[in-house]
Amino acid sequence: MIFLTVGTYPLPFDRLLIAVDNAIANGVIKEEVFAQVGLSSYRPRNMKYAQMLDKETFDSHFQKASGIIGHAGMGTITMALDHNKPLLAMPRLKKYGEIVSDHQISIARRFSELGHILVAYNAEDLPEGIRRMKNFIPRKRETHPHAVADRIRRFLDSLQDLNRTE
Amino acid sequence: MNQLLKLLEASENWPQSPSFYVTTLEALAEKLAQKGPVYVIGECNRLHPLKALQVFIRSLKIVMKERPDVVITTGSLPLAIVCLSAKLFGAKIVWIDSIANVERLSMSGRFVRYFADLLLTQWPELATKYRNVEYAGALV
Repeated sequence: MIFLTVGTYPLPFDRLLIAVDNAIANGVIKEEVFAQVGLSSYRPRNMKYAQMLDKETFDSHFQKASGIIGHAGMGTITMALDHNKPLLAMPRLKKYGEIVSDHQISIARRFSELGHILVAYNAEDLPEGIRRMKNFIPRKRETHPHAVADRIRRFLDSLQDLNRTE
Repeated sequence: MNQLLKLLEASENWPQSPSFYVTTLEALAEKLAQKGPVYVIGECNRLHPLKALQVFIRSLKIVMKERPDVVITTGSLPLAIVCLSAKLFGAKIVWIDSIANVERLSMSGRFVRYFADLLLTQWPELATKYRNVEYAGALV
């Protein structure tokens, strides 16, 4: 099963839903697809869908899926990486009223350059992305929350030292 | 929010645990409520100045009541407004720009840069692009 999610973002993302619906109709996707469509107005014909899923159902679809198709939001990307799932991401674009700024393009580009995700910049790229997704193994991402926390702790300690010398 | 939770997990409660939390939506408050008191200030973006004003007023009320010494945040615009409110009452500001900002700091980050006491980016390239912006690592 492929899980399609447009995130919790409060704007529609019909372009992605239509592209995936067409890919099923054309036989590019042969697997079953389940979609979380959010505030999109397009009603998929070839896949089951829900507007919103509670966290539990969302997580269970995510875990069961062989691959994820989604927008290029950080929530979706980090969740795919945390679960080691291949993600094909399409950036939401401002010119179509899908988002208020075009930052998803640079997110998608950077994370795909780093080997973490696959990108379809537009509907035409989607079939190729779907073909590549079958054999795509996302590169593990190295994160450093402890290093960030340590830097902040040093800052906080320096404030306390200041108070002591005052 | 996810980024903030990763930071809190790694924080080992710093010199002390935060005495209160501020977030934008009720749905996000749940996880924080297990840790301490939570204030919900609502969402706003640059397209809705009136909502931003509401957030500012709510922030000022919270700050006047709680008088924080330090504010630590991963953004976004509503939290930049909280930072400004807290700064007006003498708080130190730690801003961690979201990982979502790859090529430049977020608009909120660029605004907070004028008065933040520690500004961290999660991309090393951005630390070289701005003065007074540091890279210490990525949260996600």
